[in-house]
Amino acid sequence: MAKNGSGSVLVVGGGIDGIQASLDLANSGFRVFLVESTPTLGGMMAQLDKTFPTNDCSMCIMSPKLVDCARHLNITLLTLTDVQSVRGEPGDFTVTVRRKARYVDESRCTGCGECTRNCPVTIPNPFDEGLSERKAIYRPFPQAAPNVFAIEKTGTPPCRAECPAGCNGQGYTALIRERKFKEALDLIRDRVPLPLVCGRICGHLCEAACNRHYIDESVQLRALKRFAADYEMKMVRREGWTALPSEAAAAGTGERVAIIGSGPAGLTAAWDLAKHGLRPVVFEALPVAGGMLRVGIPRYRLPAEILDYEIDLIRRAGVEIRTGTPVGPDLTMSDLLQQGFKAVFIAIGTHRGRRLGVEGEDLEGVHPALGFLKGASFGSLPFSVSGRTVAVIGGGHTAIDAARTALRFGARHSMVVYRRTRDEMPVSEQELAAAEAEGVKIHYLVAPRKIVGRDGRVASVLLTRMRLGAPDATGRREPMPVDGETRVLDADLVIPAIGQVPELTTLAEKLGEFRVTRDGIVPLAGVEMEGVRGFQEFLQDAASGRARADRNVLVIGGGNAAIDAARAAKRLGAEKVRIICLESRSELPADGENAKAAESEGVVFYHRRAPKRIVGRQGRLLGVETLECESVFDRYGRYFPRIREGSESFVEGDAVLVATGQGADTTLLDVADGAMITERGLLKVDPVTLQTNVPGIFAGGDAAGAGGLAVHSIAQGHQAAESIERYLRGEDLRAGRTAPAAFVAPVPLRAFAKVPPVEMGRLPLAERVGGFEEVERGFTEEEAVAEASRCLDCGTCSDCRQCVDACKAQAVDHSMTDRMEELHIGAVLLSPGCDRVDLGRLSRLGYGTCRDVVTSLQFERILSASGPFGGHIRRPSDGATPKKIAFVQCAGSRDPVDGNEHCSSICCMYSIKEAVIAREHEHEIQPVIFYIDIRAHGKDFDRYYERAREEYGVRFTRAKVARIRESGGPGLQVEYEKDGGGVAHEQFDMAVLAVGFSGGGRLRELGSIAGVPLNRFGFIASDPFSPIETKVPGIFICGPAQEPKDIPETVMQASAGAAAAAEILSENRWTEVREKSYPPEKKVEKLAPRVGAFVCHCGTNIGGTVRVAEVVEYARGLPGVVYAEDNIYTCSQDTQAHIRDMVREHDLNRVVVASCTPRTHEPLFQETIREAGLNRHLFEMANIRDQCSWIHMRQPDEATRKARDLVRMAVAKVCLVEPLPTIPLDVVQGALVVGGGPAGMSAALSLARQGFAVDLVEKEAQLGGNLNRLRTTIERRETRLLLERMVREVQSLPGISVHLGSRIESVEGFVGQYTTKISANGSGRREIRHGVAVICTGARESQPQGYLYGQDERVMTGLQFERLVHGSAAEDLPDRVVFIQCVGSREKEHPYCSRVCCQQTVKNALLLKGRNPRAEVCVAFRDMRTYGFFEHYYRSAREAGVTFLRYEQDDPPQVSREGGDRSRLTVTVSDAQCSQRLTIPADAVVLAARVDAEVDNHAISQLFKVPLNPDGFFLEAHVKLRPVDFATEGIYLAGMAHNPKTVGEAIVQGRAAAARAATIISRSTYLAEATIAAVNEDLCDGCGICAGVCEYNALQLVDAADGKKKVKLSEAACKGCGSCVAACPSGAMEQKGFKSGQIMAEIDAALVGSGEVTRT
Amino acid sequence: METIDLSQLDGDFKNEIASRPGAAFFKRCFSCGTCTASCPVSEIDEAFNPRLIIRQALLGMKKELLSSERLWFCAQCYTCFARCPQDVRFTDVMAVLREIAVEQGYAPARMKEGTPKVDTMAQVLRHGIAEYLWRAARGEEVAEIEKRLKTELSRGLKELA
Repeated sequence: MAKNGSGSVLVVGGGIDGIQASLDLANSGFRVFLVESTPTLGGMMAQLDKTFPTNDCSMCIMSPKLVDCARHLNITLLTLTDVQSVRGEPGDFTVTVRRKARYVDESRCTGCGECTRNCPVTIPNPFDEGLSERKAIYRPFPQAAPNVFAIEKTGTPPCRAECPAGCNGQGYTALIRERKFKEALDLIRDRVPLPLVCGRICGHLCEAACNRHYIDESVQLRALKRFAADYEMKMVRREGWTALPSEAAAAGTGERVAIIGSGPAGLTAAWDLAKHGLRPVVFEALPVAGGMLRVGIPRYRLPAEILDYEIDLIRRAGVEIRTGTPVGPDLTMSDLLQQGFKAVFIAIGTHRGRRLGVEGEDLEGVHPALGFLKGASFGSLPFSVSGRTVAVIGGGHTAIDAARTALRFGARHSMVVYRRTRDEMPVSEQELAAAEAEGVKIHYLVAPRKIVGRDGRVASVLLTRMRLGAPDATGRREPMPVDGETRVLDADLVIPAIGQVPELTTLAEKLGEFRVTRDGIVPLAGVEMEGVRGFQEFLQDAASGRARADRNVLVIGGGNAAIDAARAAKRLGAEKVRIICLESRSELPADGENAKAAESEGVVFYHRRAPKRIVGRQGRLLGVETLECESVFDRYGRYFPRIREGSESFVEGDAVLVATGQGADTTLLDVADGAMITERGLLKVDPVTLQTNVPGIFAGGDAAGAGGLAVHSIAQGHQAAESIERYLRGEDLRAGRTAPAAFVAPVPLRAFAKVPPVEMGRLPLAERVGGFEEVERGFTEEEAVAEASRCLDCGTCSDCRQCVDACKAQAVDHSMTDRMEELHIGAVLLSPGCDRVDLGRLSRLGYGTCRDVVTSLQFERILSASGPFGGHIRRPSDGATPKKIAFVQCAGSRDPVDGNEHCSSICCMYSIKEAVIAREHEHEIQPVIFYIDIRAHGKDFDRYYERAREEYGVRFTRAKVARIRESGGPGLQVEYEKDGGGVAHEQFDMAVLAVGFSGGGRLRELGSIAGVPLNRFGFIASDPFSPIETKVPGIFICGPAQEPKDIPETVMQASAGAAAAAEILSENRWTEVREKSYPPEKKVEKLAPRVGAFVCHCGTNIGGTVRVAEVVEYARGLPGVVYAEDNIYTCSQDTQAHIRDMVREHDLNRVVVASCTPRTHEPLFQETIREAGLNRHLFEMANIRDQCSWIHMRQPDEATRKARDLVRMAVAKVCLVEPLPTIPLDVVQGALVVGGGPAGMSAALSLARQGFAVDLVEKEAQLGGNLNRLRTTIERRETRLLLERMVREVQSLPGISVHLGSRIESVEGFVGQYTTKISANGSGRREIRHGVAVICTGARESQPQGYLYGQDERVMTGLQFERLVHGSAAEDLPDRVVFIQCVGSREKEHPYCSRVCCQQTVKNALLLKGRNPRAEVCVAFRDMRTYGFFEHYYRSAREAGVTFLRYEQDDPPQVSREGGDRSRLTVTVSDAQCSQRLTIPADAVVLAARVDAEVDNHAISQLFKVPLNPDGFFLEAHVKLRPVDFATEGIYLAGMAHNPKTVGEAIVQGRAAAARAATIISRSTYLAEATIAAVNEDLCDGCGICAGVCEYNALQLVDAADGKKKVKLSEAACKGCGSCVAACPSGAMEQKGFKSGQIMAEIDAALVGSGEVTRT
Repeated sequence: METIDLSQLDGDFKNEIASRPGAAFFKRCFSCGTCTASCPVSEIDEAFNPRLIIRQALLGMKKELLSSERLWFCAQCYTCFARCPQDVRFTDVMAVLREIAVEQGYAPARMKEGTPKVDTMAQVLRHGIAEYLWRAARGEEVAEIEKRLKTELSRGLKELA
């Protein structure tokens, strides 16, 4: 079909369907690319506990398939891979896939699990549906395939993304949580070489970004960082730790780099360069290193010794720091370059404050009133008034108070100067009178203009006369100066008490103006005056002890610099420190904690004030006039301050610190070579490389506008170091450095409890302001761990690199990235599975609101021995064993309002299974299943249902649960309709919601990528007659993505999908597969054993307990052993090569590996020795992991002794093993198909399309089987068209020989070589040679018993009715029809469901209503089993007015002809839904007659020696995973011969059988098993017991020469199960590979003491 | 178990109901009982069974249903409406049944007018009783409220009678 096309198939989805399809394809000559989006194969089936109806362990039956699939030479397994696009046509598709990073090298990972022990991140385990936890590095489950680990990364955590230096907040937090403090600090130092410093003063942008603040408050990352750094410092001092991370300075070129400035940028660059083997020299102008860290941050926040310690470490890392060495006129940059420095990094910071001060001095004797009064109230004035003449300026209470107080403290004269009249004074007349009585003299209508001094002290006040003008806004008349009229008032103390709106113009001589601009507050030129200083200068002075103590300090600005200055001023003794800032509290750019601490120390904030001007007089500062700031940011959040004019108020102070901006001191650059372009006073650099316009000269930090925080400078330090290294290596400075922004991880999707942050200890307030001792005390260990535990692990993997250290196989690689790949393939098979019902919609049933309401899948995990509770049934809330469990069916299914319209098909059965298993686990459990209809429509399901009810006492209550809620204490209240009406409130301990399957979601996404449309249910649309084909040729679909279905139907569709792909690619079979070639096998039979023993450490998995070296030494001394060694991982790829080398080098002819379990690893080692030229069976394995190190974990001596024992046993056996040949058998590449119905034709067509010869044998005279009897399907498709199409193709395809009217006479042979004789109509015998056979003998509608069937022609079967409806004119159709379901089915003699009848009845009812709308249709049923999408038609039938009446099994409908009027047919039904008996007149009664197995099946079963079940249907090899195979190789089954099924299902199974058959007949030879049985004819006495136990029909009794019977083994048929060996009473049967002598040798070796070896 | 001859029932009743606004989807019912289990009236009076009412309507038990006093018991709380997986809209079906009952003389017309009054009165009384309980629990004087409630009740009953 697709000549010259591809012989590869893409399978999308690695659930059981994808696995089955891949195996079928790969085993029949196609290359498979199996794409799976998770890290492992397995899908949902891997999560299940048991499977119904056989109660097999799901994982046990599945894991061999996982292993086969993952190891298959021709299956390329692409895990963690998504399909991105599909282009092309059948035979020639190009598919783009995205391979997500696993972060673990699959080829190196040995699956030992060491990494998980080191991983600090624990998250809910999705494999256990969140009921247990796992690490960020994980293997989904122990049997995962590939059996390797993966790391889950969900984005860059916001803390890390937000940190300018990229410091890994989540990483060090996770390590602190695990008490790995040293490792935490190492991780911090990766990006921050100053952790002690940053742990104290960092602006912690990380905390602002922390996702935890959405829950309660951010994690205190800075404090945690400080803790890790302090911890190390403490351990260095106390315990003698080495402070630096272990990696010492690397070897490098040793080139010298000059770094100017020893601030954070310079130190970081130097650190990086030194680490990489360069020799950085830091030049520092100041006498001490540290830059702004040293002189810009007060010591109570960053103690000097901390900084010293940290800088010392940097020095020790190989950084030379030359302090007191300014680069400037005396040492130019040219000098540096001449001295051999290869590059220069300028990181000089911003140390030139915009200094405003000029010369000037204070007048002694001017004191504000408030301070004066405050002092007075404490009884100690800040100055003496005794004997002074005091002038108080102002007219309010304060002024009068001051004047009166002055008198009390002994003032000679006390005067008040007021600019208005007595009438305007706000003071009461009584008070004024009292003051005057005490001697206070009040001067009205005068204002002070100048205070005149003498010898630096106040001498007099020059006053201006005032007059009253027009009334102002307050209604008082405004005082106006009267020009030229002045007077002098002698005074030696002046106390201004002028309130909020001072007459500044008259008071002040100097005014410094501010302007509020877009960039903040800018002081204008000319405001320089004494007492006004830049904060840098102030902090520098403070750091060096030169600072002066001002009493009343005003700080202008709202950043950290302002707060630092304020807090430092407080420590220097200022009484009053006020901060004037534009921003409100919440808008402050400063760190909130810093502001809080400042407040607690007494600093007062004046928020929303803009300084207008600084007011000074006579060289003395008076204060700051401010304006109200209405808002700081505009509505878009941009900085845009709005100032209210006319809102002046005055804040007094004797010192002003301006902290509103910084500039770089670039004077040194004036002498630098080349022109530095400066802009806004900063150095101009390339933002990526930090290179200036001069090559080799880089600049960074604040001087280059880094961003203002130390961490910004650190970031630029790293950036500069990187550039410098590239520059020195001559590389491109920019390449690869402009990576797109990382995806920032959101809040993880799970519930978090609120946990308040841990409060850090702080210096008691009383001790703070007195000195400069550090205020924050840091966390204790316990506090740090508790705080770290608040981390949400947003990125999942914390990137802490602990796994890298733990992995001895060096498999972990955090640098992996996603990558795209293109695949060229011939066909696509979609097997993605589907989603589950949206759990968010199940809250009414308690999901998410009641802890003890779980999903069915969660309950599977609870039941599982490998699950969260080790197989003990526990409820999540309190871990108690529930006594009563409610199983709630249809949670989101059959519910188009709250969920899905369709039925999910499998929930009824899995709930019954879960109820049964729960009861098996804990006998006291009382399970109750609430249901609408029990849909046990699969093979043998009804038996299981009955057993659950009868044997296990599961209670079935027919009611849909309306609500589940918690009932106060533990336990749940389940509400449903009580029998007979009313509401039942039943108490349960636990509830399990039967959550069904949902379309849409992932399927919609995949559908749009592959271009395949979805159907109305959200599943991938396909035709009912060919469910495998999508609407796009060459793209096929199987499994639950097509329709919800159980495992067998899924597996059938998977094989059918494989067949469909093989059909279009058959020309290219074997073109793209790889066949392995091996060296010839060495002949070893006559050679003395030369055993090589390889003993595995498995990291520390074995080596941590068992003393491996001792075992190796011991093995070396064992007889036959010529070589022994230990391996870290014996299974790793490089060890395989090594083993092959050792086999050759030491001429080994036997190999023993002592490691883990042969179940997973034996095939690998066998393959290895085969590649080395040894037969696979010259091998033995000793499991010293499971049996020694695991179960004797704490007994190393005993474990080691046992390991020696096991090795000794393995060696003893291996010396006796023999090479076993695989036996190639010829294969006849043709198939026999028995039965020409839809399944048989489908199988025949598929095989023929694949190019195989087919003989199709049909006993009837025509092809078609039941297709001849049907008319339409429920989807209104005409079966006649299908029949015609199939028959036409069968007849036209050259490979098919049709034998009509023929029967099988005899069958001989075995897989690959069958000879079958058929006869046509009893004559004309014919012999057919075929390699395989497919049995599709079908089934048929039974003849009903009772219901007047056969006595009244108006009583008919479903098929008869279907013919009637199609064959009659509309007016002849009956008006009143009653359908009766389960006629002959689900009863004692026939305890199975016929599966097809419910949908057939719905189909016929709809058909009748369609043709005769007035028809009254009733359906009497027991359970409506319209599974899957059929539910839609059931609903349509109800909408069309069909009446459904439910009857109980013990009270079936009665059909009668009434006594008088015999022509009237009546059906009587007891309707359980309204507890009434209804008599219904009927024109026709339609019986849903049971489907019977063909009677011929018995004969066929004996001919092919394949089994039947009790109902006469064929019994497949395994009901779940091998639904089209028989245990006997080469024989398959399909269609109704297997179980009743619809036409579509039969066609699928027929095609599936073709795929299975192709795995044999696509090859010309068949390799039979090597480890099979062997008969010792001398010992055989012909008893035949062995033949009886053989399931594979491999043993037959034959006549021997001496007339006795002997048993003969068919080697091709033998599967090596060993049953015959065990059964044989005479010891004639032996099992190759497990011969008696070999086993005895092993036992003997076990019984010899391990101390010495006596056997030789 | 009572035996009913289906031919004596009104097979067209279900179509009559479904043809009226609000009851278009009622034939979808698959008798799961969610409505009954959600019904506050069923909680106190097991004889009131929404699921059964739909059943009877589907079977054509017109006379029995429309003459039943239970037709008037629905409290119109819409819980069943919200929870029904098949969107049967029982509350609206109930309104349709009442409508037909009055139109076709199975129930006096005043029932149709009276029931909204019952609902209003129930709300008023409920409010008053809650207030009564609240105050009584706090030891406050409730005689006034009691008197008012009694007046309200008798006035309401008079109005309905």
